[in-house]
Amino acid sequence: MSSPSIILSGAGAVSSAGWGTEALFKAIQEHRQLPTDISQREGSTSSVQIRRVPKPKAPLAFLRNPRLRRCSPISRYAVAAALEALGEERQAQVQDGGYRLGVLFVFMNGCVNYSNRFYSEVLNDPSLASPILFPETVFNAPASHLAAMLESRSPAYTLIGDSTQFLGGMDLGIEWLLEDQVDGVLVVGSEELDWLSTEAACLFNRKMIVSEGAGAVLLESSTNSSDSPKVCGITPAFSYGNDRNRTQATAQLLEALPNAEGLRLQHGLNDDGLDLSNVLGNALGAGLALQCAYARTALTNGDVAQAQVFHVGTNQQAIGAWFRA
Amino acid sequence: MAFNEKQRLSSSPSNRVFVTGTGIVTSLGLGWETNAAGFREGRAALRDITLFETSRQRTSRGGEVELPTTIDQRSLTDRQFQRLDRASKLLLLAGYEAWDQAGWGKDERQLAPPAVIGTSAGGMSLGEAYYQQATTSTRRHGQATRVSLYQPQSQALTLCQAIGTQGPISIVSNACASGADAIGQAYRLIRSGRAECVITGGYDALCQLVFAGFDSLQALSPGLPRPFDADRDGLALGEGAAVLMLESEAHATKRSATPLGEICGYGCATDVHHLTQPHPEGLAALASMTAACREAGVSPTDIDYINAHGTGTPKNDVAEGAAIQKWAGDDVASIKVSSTKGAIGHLLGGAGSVETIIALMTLKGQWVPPSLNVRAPDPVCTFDLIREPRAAKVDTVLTNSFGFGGSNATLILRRVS
Repeated sequence: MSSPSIILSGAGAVSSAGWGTEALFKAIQEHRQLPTDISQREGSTSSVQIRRVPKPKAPLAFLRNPRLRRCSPISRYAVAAALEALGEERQAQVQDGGYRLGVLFVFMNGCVNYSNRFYSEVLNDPSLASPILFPETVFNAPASHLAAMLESRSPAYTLIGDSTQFLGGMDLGIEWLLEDQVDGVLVVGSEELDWLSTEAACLFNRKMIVSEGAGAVLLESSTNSSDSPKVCGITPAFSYGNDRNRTQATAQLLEALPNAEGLRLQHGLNDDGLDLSNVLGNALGAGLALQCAYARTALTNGDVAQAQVFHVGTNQQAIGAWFRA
Repeated sequence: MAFNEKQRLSSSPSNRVFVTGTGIVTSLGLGWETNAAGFREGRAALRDITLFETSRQRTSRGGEVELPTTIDQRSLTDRQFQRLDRASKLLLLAGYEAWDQAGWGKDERQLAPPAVIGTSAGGMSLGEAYYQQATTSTRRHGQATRVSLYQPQSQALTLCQAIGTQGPISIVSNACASGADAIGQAYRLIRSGRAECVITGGYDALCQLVFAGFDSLQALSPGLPRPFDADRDGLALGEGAAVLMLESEAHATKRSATPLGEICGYGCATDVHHLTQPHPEGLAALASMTAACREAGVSPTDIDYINAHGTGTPKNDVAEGAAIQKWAGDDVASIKVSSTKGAIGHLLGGAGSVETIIALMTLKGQWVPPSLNVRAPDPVCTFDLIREPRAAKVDTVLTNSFGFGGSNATLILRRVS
């Protein structure tokens, strides 16, 4: 028996290209010009260009789950991507209690729709602020909804950070697998559009087209060498600080990743690597999740034998990973 | 922290994990000595909140911290120092104390210790200020700074910059279990050999949005919080921070450090019953306690004291009590239990880390703190509910943290002889 590998055994995506990894993959392959929209809140003079997730072609069956009935888009995108990554067979195993599924959610902004609505009510009259809205503002609400829907009682964590945190989530998920705490880990990055976050993002880059969506990967340990794409490595996270600025962190990231032929996905490097945000818009905390879902799809389709992702974050760190078919 | 398939897949060391430095800030005051004295004496530190308007809410009381007039700047630039928000100040104060107590220096800086920090709200008061300016003015002055510093990684980055470390940062946001889960994750990094030293802990500052949120759920007591009282009617919110410096036994021994205690078990489980309510029988609490004890290699009779999550809400305390009953079985009557939230309030993302330091205080001081304000214990309290401060032999402690969304975490700490 060969030694175990960490594999990307599933991927899921919801993006401005549509629902599913296939829609994401086609849009990128075809360099599709996705529609943009203008976000302008009432009473404001500033407007922001955005790319929304299109409406799903069919009603989302999972919204019949009582926990998801009134959830905001961030949870809907996350659950759709997670279910695609998990697949029906694994989902049934989790619900039967035969598969220990860890859940790791990663956000930069989190549940801004409900936070915006709730705080508006608080400022208006805190004694009338809605108890229905507040629990949905808590960072770990989407992770809780997904775990409840899947009836998964294994660890469910929510990590917050800049747009690089998805690989931090994968790193933690791998740790859970290596320690045999779980049989698989769903790592999910998700974001939703709201004037609160779009206006804030554009304070740093006026030309940014802000987007939304979710990406997910299912990590498992496997001894079968022919199984799914493998995670070869994740670099250390090169944090920014007084002794290492963003440029220096980027240089250290590039040194840490091995030279390899194949797909090269990047964000924040401004080099010739493929930056999905040029097509999709900047999905903030979900951007790196979509990169990883795209890389897994390309490797599974046989388009490439290796893939690297580089991500230089806004205010926290630079990090990368490499995968092979 | 990094993964490489060639290095990682065959190794599974199980290093002992020592706490060699702690820092704590609560409404009782700053630092180990002040807080230990307060808990030892059974003092309460709840007062009227001054940070924001509360007149339209059911209560105005909380565990507000009185910040010192000056804070050490250390390695922060003038600009960073001038921009510190309340949450960053709380975390800095706790971080400085922990760093100094551990006696870490150049060698530990070179190790670039990871920082694993828990919070539920980060710099939310800056987010509130951003929102208010955005909705009432066309001015953008200061807004970009508010956006940057509001994000929870910002407070952790500030601490690391101030003490001169530059390791990877993870922010765990599992609601009220954030602090305990962060410590649990930090403990695992050392136990598995992935790190020699880790900076960990949790924090949360009082803010209007969260206060109004708990008020909207009618989770705040209009009077006093009375964890485990039969007629308890809610919690009090507090604020604060706790930071712990963890290191492997080998690293601590090499530099002749004196451990304050050992973390020897961590368990977590997810309660899928409801977004804000625990399963009435505390099934996930039972699962996390059982998992932590299994990892620590201890049974209920080995546990000398439980620092309960004990919020003082009707549903939490009965579920936790039921879990303790099932977990301890026939030995339940001998298990000493109290909640310290009656003294300082519920610190949300900071609660688990503050209560871990209280657990260390009991190991060092050989006493157990009381559950304040109990008039008649709830019938679920078949355990030994501590209602007055008590001297006790304490070698092993269990601390529970449960949060919204069903995040349940348990840590086990042991005295190092």
